[in-house]
Amino acid sequence: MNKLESDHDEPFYNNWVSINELPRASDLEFTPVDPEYLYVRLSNVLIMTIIGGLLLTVFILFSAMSFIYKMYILVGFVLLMLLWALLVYLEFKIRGYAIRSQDIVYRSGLIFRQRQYLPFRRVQHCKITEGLIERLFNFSTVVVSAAGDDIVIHGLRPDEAQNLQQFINEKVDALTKEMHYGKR
Amino acid sequence: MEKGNWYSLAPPAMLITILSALRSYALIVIYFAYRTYQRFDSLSIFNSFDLFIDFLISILPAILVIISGIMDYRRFRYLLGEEQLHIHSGWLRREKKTIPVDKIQSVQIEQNWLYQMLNVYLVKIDTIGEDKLEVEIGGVWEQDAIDLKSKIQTIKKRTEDEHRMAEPTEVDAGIEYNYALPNRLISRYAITENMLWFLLPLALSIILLYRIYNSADAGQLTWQLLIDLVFGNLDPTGSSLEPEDFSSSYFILYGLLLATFSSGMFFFNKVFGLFNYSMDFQNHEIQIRRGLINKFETIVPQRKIQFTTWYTNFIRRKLGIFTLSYKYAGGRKTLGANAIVPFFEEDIVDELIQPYIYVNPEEHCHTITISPVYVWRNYFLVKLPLSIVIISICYWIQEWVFYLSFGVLIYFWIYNTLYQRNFRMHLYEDYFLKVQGVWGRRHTLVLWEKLQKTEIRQSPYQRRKGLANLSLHTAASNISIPYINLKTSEDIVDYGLYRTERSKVFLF
Repeated sequence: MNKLESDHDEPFYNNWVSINELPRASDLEFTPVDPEYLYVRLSNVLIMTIIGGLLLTVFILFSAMSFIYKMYILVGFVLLMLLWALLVYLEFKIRGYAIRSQDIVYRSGLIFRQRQYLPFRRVQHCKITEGLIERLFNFSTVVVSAAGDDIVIHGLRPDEAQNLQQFINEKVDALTKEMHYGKR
Repeated sequence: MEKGNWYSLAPPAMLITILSALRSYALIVIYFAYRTYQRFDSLSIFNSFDLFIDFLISILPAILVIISGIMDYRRFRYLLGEEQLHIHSGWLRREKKTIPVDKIQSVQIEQNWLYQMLNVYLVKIDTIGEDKLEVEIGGVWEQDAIDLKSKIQTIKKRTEDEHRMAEPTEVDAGIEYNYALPNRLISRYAITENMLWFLLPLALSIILLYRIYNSADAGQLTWQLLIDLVFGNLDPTGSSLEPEDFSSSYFILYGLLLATFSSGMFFFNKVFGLFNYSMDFQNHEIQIRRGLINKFETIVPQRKIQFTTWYTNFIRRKLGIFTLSYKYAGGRKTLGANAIVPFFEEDIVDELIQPYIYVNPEEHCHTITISPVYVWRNYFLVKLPLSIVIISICYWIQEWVFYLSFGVLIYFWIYNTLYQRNFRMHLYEDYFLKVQGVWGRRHTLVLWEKLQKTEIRQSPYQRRKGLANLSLHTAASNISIPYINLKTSEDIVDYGLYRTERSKVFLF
C-alpha cells in the first residue's frame, strides 16, 4: 500500500476540487441509539431463546441420546444464546447515525463495521415502522430508501422518528424543486 | 402533515384479505382434511389428543392470519396531498410511509376475478429501483381508484412541467450515432456464446443414458433403442435389472433433459434475438432494433442509463469479441435492465459509450489497485472452504476425479493472484472506471452523480491494516471494490457524495 499512500502526498483527483475542502464523512459525530433500545434488541434474543429452547427440548425429549449428550446440547444452546446476547450488547454501543445538511450516515456492526452514506438528493421515500416489541418499549424505526437500497435507523422515539421523517421529506422536497430534466 | 381526507379501503376489501389469508393456508387446511379423513372411522379431534394438536397447529395460524387480515384492513388508510402520498398500514407491525408524488413511476389499476366479483379495484403504485411493489392499495371503489390515478398523474405532470419550465428547453438534439451489425458478425458472436449451461446438462444426460444402456444389457445401440431408452420402453427380457430399478435414473434423466431443453431454448432465443441488429442514438434516446424470428425494440432515454459495462471472456478476448451493456433503471420491471450491444473492435468503445458520456482519452486519471493481501485472505476465507466442498463431492464420484479435484486448490490460487493483479480502478473528474477480470475482462464505467448510496465495510483484520471493502450502489446494480486503502475509500465516498449532492439532474 506504500504506493497508494505516497500518492496521497500529491493533490488527489487532479485539480477539479481540493479534496481537503470536502466535508469529511469520516470525522462525523454519530448520535448513539437511545440506551433503552438495548432492551428491544435483547428481547429479540430472549424470544428466540425461548422458542429455540422449547423446540430443542422437545427434540431432546424424544431422541434416544444419552443423558450426558442431551445436557451438552442444552448447555451449548444456552452458551450460544449468551454469546449472541453479548454480541448484541457490544454491537449496540457501535450503532449510531449522523444527519448532515446533505446526507445521512449510519454506522453499525461489531465484527464487520460498516458505514452507510445516503445523500438526500437520492431519497425516493421515507417510512416509519413499528414492530410489536418496539411498540411495547415505545420505539420506532425509520427506513430511508433510495433507488435500490435503504438505510434503516433503529431505536428512535416515535416523536423523533416523526420529526426525522418530516425533516427528510421537507429536505427531499426542497432538493427536488431545484432539479431539472436534462443531459447533465 | 398535509391536510386532506384520509381514505380507507372499501368494505369488500375485508373479504379479499380473509380469502387471501385462507388461500395462503390452503395447503395446511387440505393436509388437515386429509389427515382427518384418514382417521375418520375411529377418531375425532374430541377423543384424540394427537389429532387435536394437529387441529390447533393447522387451524390456529389460519385464524390468526384472518384476524390480522381484518385488522390490516381496518388499519389501512391513505391520503394523497399536493406533494406526497401518505400510507398508514399494519396491525402488529405498523408502517407510516410517505412517498413524494414526483418519485412515483407508475400507477396501475387492476382487477382479477375476485376483485371483479366484489366490484372493487386494486391500485398498484410503484417507485423506481425496488424489487417489490412499493404500494398496493387492495380494494377501492372504481371511482376512488380512477380519482387517485388521475390526481397522481395531474400532480406529476404539473411538477414535471414546472421542472421543464425552470430549465431552458434544450435546443440541441444532442449527438447522433448509428451502429448496425451484419448477420455474419452476429453468427461469430453467437458461436462463442457461453454454452456451459446448455452443454453441462446435455453431457450429464448422455452419460446417464449410457449408464442405463449399459445396465439394461441391451443389444447394439441404434436410434430406435435410444428412443426406447429415453421413453423407458426397455424389453425386460434379457435385462439384468428389475424395471423399477430404473425409476430414479429416469427421474434424474428427465430432469436433465428438461434442463437441456430449456437452457437450449433460452440460448437460441438469446442468439436469434441478436440478428438484424441496429442501434440509433438521437434526441437523447437509444433505440435498439433486433431479432430474427421475434422482433425486439428497446428505447432507453439517455438519462435513465445508470452505468455502462463492457466485457469479454477468455476465448472472445483472443478473437476480439466484446459485449457492451447499458444498465438502465426502469424497463419492464422497475429494477435495472440491460441493453446489449455486441462489438468487435475495442477501439470503438469510446464511440459506443457516447450516449452515456463523452470520454476524453487524454484526461489524466488517478489509478488505484487492491491490496495484495486480498490473494491469501480471500483464498483462506472463501476459496478454501469452497475447494473442500468440491473435493468432498468428488470423493463420492470416483477415485481419479477425487485426485484431480485437488487441482482446484492451485487453480483458485492462480485465480486470486490474477484477479488482484488485473484489478484497476481509474478515477476521473466526472466518472470512474473499474477494470477487473481473471481470464476475461470487465470494464464498468459509472458517472459519479449516478451513485445512490455508498458503504464502507471493514473486518477486524482490515481495521488493523487500514483496509476496507467499498460498495457503490447505483439504481441499476452495485459495484464493489474489495481490500482498498481505507483513506482512499473514504476519499472516494466523499467525492462521490459531493458530486451526487451537487448534481441537479433527474436520473429517471
